[in-house]
Amino acid sequence: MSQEYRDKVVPYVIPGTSQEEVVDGITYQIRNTRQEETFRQFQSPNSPQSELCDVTSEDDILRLFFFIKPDFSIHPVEEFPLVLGFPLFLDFDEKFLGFVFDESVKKKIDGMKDKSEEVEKSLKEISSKMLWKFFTVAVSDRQVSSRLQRKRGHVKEQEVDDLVSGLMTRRKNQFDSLMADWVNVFSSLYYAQEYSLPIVQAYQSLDTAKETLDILSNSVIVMDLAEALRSSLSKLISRRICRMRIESICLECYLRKGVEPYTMIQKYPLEPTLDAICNKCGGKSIYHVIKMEAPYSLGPLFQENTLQEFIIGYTLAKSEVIKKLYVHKKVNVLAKEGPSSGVQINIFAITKNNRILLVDVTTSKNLNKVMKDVDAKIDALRGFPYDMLVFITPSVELKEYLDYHKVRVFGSRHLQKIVSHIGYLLDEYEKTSAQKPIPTQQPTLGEEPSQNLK
Amino acid sequence: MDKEVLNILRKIVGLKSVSLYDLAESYAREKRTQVTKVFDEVNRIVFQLASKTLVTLEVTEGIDGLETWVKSTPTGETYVKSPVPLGREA
Repeated sequence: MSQEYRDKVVPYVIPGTSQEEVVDGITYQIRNTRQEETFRQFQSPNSPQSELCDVTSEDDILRLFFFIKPDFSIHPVEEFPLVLGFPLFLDFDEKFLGFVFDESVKKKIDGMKDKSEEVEKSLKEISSKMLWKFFTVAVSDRQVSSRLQRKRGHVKEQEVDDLVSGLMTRRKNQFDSLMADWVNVFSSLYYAQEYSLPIVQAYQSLDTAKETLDILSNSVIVMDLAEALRSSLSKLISRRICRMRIESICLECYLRKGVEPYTMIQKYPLEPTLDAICNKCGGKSIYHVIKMEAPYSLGPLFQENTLQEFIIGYTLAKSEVIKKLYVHKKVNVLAKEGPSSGVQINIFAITKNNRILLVDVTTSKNLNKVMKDVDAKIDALRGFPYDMLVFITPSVELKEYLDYHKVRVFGSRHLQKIVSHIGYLLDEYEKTSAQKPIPTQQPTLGEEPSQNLK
Repeated sequence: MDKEVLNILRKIVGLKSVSLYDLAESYAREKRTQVTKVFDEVNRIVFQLASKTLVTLEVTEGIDGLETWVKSTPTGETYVKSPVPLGREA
């Protein structure tokens, strides 16, 4: 990671301490937030956090990609327990969209879902029967029962391990024959699930997958979206930030043409493949799920949506106009009568011309909600001196940025060139604003800043 | 189960629901050290417990933005309240 731009970002403030920035005579006091400990690893340039933000700050597609809310799950894998599932289409046949929501298709999917649930129920019953048989064998074993009867007090884990491994060796033939009875049942049930489950799951996530395509295709200008995304994902793999599994299934094969669907499962590829057109039926509606497996230390950043703040923070730090910036901090102004109450600010940036730029990053795509958040933020910032407040949302609805009092609201279309957009706005602000008077005294609380955007 | 992991699970089950940050603070107090020194360990343990469905993780709006809350599950409660939990010294 380039040290020069990294030095501009302050990701972590030791809890209980504060840093002060004096800008045009106004002293801003910056303190930690409750989430501060999840940012500590940003101090190391080789941590997964720093590496992730370094890659995403350079890559227009990944920057957008992490604004998409993934399905979050945790697997019992020590190194990479977090699994983030991103469903997406890389192309879509609009006629097919009308067709898939037809009643006959819905009925077909419901039928598959019912069957799939039945299979799951059978699997649970079989598992519990197997467990029952296992215990029957275990308690009827003379050595096990006499050992447990002799034992007083609590049983140590190691003792149980020894007891079970002894039992498995003594009764190996009995367990093998028990397993042989169930292997055939399991494989036939698995076969029944193999086709139906991916289709049912894909059908349930159609809207999210379409939404992801809308965001990517409307917001980045590339010749070939599949190839561009593939190349971006490869960067994450090659930097060993996460592992990746990609599951792809063509919905048109099965739902439109009635043939077995084209499917591809890639486990931890170095160079992933993403097909936009089906190799089997030529259809465009291939549903992909990109499953990223990440270390646990990234968990709170993804869950609490602070990752997007850092991605934007590191991206803005590359702008020449930014002198220094703090991410996700509490900031208050030191005034004559004491410090004001702190305001939580996603990005608090100081420009080369000593302007204060505040950036609020949201993952909400709903513009009504975003505008309510803007109003709430303006209220929270009453009396807090700043020059510009920028809101960033992944909404595709904003073709041009919104100009709202002292606020600018950017959508997903602006994320590709966010550094240029903000640089331009700050340049314009310098040109249009009057000579900025340097306050001769500290402001009092509730005082409006002297600078205005309009 | 490791003694420290069981200790944290007991804490969560006792409280039913606790913010990840409050849990780390309470653990640090118990260890008479700073949160900074134990946070990564607490975070790792919480994810380890969640992967075994002994706790769940939920996100709620807090004073400084979204905050992760750790909640006990019936499986976790059964594990802690079991008369002979594995790993407990005789």
